[in-house]
Amino acid sequence: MSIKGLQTEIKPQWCPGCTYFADLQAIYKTFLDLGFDETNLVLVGGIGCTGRITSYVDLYTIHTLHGRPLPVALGFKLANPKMNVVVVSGDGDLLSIGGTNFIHTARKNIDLTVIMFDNFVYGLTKGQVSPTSPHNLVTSTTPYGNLDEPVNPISLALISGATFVAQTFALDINHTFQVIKEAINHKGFSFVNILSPCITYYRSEDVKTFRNKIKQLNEQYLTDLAKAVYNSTSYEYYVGVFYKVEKPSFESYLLKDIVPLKSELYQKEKIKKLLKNYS
Amino acid sequence: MSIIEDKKSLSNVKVVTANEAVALAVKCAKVDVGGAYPISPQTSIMEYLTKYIETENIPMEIVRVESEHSAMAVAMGAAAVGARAFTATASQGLLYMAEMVYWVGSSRLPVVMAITSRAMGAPWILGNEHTDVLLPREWGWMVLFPEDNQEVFDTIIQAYKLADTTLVPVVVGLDGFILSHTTMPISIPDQSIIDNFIPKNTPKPYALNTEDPFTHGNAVHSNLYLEFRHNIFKTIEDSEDLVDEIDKEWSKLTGRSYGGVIEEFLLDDAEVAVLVMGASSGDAKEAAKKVREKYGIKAGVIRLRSIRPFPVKRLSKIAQKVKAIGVFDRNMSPGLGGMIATEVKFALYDLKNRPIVQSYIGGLGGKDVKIADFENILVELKEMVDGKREVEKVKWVGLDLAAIEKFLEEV
Ligand SMILES: Cc1ncc(C[n+]2csc(CCOP(=O)(O)OP(=O)(O)O)c2C)c(N)n1
Ligand code: SF4
Repeated sequence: MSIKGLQTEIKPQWCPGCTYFADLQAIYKTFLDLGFDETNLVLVGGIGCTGRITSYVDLYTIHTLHGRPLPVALGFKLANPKMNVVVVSGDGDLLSIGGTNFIHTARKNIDLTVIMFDNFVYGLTKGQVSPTSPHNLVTSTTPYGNLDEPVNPISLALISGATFVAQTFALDINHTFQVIKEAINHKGFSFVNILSPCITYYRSEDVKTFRNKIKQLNEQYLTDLAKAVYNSTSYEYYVGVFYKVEKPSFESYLLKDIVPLKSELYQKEKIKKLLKNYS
Repeated sequence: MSIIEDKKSLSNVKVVTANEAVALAVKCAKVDVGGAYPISPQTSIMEYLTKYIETENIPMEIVRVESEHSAMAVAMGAAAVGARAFTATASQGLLYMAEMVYWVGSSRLPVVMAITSRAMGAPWILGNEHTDVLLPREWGWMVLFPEDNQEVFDTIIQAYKLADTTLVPVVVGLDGFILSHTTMPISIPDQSIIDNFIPKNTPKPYALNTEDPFTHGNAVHSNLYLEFRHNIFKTIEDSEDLVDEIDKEWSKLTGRSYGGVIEEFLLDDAEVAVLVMGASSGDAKEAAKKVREKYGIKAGVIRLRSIRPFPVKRLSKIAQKVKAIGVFDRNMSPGLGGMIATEVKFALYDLKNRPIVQSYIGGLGGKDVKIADFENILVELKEMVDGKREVEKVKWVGLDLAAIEKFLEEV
């Protein structure tokens, strides 16, 4: 298979030059590399420019509600623990309206991979302040600058109990690809934050100047949580794997004897019949 | 009175979208606190408000919260200490907010909320539909529904009067996109008129007060709960005249009257009438004029402005005159009929000579409804009156089930 085989007929409806195109490339690359097809992967999207990705990957995908991709993914994973379940969503979806779900899914250490496209604003609703908007950022709801301090997604993931926590930069597609691959191979709750400034509404700097802030993390794959948290607050725009520990995952406690639901092959005809019966 | 005739306030004419009209009204109402979470087609209301606050130094606080649930919670907290509170949402946002909306209704806190109507998923859909605006009518809120941008502005001001007088919160619904994103001229009255109309220093016995501490929202037993619910019921039931009076009082100050709970259009001699809410009323009025001209059918329009209080008294009076009412619902009660049609039937059932009431459902998810559709409704109603057509439980407007087949063939 090639990347083309993973693409749907729908052309991504993102602004020309959006950093998400790079994020999507990295995701295609990873899925291709890991041999994902409709028999072994479910892609769960939240709501936002990011969540649209579910229309651009020709595999089992579900576009959930705003803030709710994580519990939906949890349901999938428990119904069929053999499936790889990958969640892709934005900073608003995962950390605002879905903030509590983020904490409580991470602390279960369930075997999911969560990829966040961190663009520092609510993109789809046209550029309002988001939980990762830097202090003082001018947005459409903060015309004189953001009063709040941003959430640090890496620190939050760490203290919530994620067992693989990493950050990458959108324009380094190869690095993002490597890291997502590791995240998916990690058994437990893995979180990858892709720094992907919104080129339309993140007005304080362009992507090129933003790029200058990106630095390589020195101490990677730490197993000392306190140290990893310290690094996450000290090295804000650093990329690399902040933390990785092996711990039993949630479903490994629960599902020893459970026979996974049979995953039937995705058949257009079958879906059509279903639609006909229920519409 | 049109804006142009309203010379007194000509200097205050602005050309704005209905969302900006809401924001301007909230500013003029001197709201103290609001909670904001973006959702289309509401988002620009909060964007305008934050702009006014920061560029004009208005003493209002907008909290950029993390979800609609918190947006209403912020409004609740502010109202509980006697501040004037506001928020706005739509569609999924209202559903997510629902727990707080019900709580505020039951707490009798005079919050005002704008809902820019939008259909709800699944599947994801942006188009206009009225189901969201109608939900809070079961949640202890008054619900008003204006027709155009001027009326949107005026209704927000009237909503504060209604809320402050009854201690029942008020939803002002406005057609998503059709009004929220369409510009029209509106006239803004002198600030002193608004200040006198909705004074902020009225006694607020419910407001939490450190000098005389008490608590809100504690647990009760069934010996009180039914009684609380009854009183909410009664207050809303008894507000029908109040909505009319508020409209009359506003008209004295501004020259603009909307008929209170119902705007009656060509009803004096009407034999058949279509009942509608919001922006489509303009099309319905055109249709009534056309079928009068084309076919000599005495047609009129009942424009429902107030859904709670439900105008039982006024509707009963109209029902004595007309022989058939076609209720056009841009919403549905699954398996039963249009939500408003079922309420109209309930309201009129006890009348001796009740008219035919035909439920029509259409326009869901933003599907276009045209003047011709309303003409058709009015003609059908006349046929029902003349015994040439059966009344049906529900009639669908613009339904094209073949579209599903076509879609399935294409995928
Ligand atoms: C309950 C609810 N509230 C609000 C919305 C409107 N909404 C859609 S996407 C979005 C924010 C998206 O921001 P983010 O998650 O950062 O994704 P981005 O668009 O930036 O990729 C909002 C507020 C909604 N769909 N549902
Ligand atoms: S709004 Fe921002 S995040 Fe959304 S598509 Fe445009 S550039 Fe990308």
